[in-house]
Amino acid sequence: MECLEVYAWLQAYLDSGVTAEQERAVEAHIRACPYCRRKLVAMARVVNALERTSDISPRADFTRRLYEALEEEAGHPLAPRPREPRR
Amino acid sequence: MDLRLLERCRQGHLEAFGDLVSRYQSRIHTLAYRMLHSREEAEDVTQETFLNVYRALGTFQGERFSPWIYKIASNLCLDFLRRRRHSTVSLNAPIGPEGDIPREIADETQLPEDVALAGALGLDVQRAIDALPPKYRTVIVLRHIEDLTYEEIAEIMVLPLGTVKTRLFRAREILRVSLARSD
Ligand SMILES: [Zn+2]
Repeated sequence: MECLEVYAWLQAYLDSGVTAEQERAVEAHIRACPYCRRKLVAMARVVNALERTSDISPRADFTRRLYEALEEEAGHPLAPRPREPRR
Repeated sequence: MDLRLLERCRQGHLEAFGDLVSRYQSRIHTLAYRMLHSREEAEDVTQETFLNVYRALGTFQGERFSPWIYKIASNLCLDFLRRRRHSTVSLNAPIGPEGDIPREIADETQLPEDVALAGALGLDVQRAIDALPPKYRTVIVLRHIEDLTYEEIAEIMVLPLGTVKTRLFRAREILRVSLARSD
């Protein structure tokens, strides 16, 4: 199997988006091909770096400011107000 | 769950809207922050997203809430990026030959928020995201930061599944190359 042929499977492999048969083909290919193996490892590292991240909450008074904007839009108070996000 | 909340909002139970805000504000803010790399703009997008949801409560016909709110938010992010690109006077205006390098990258001084967030996502990775063209940035953030499936992303971006995959694969390839360079 050529590198180019296996490329889309290699990518889908990162998302667990391959069939069992494709998975075997990918694994056989990367065992034999150092070029694709390096590429897969580097790409998996990028994916891990992205997925390790946690949510970023808005600043402390964001929900209050949001509710002021919503109340202005509604033309009346919207009590009770939601919680500020946990930080 | 979300749909029941939405129904209660429509009936005028406004605490239900507060629940939607509580459930989604961090996720939407994270999406916007990763796409825009600006706290100020991320909060603007998040606020505008909920205002749009509130205005459209009566007309929403969809079956699921999550793709709808993500669609609103990601389109607003793309609007912000487009506006930056066209504005030549803004301090945040992007630079570089393609006009797609955020000014913060060229700036040698680290913003305080960058320091604070460096632990959450390495600044090198955020900067690699910043350098992605918007259409790739959206798909990479939806897939790997928001943890959505190909199918959900296709629904949000109104794209065929094949296009979502092509863009995602291309985006990862660009990130791999640019992060190898920064090693
Ligand atoms: Zn190969």
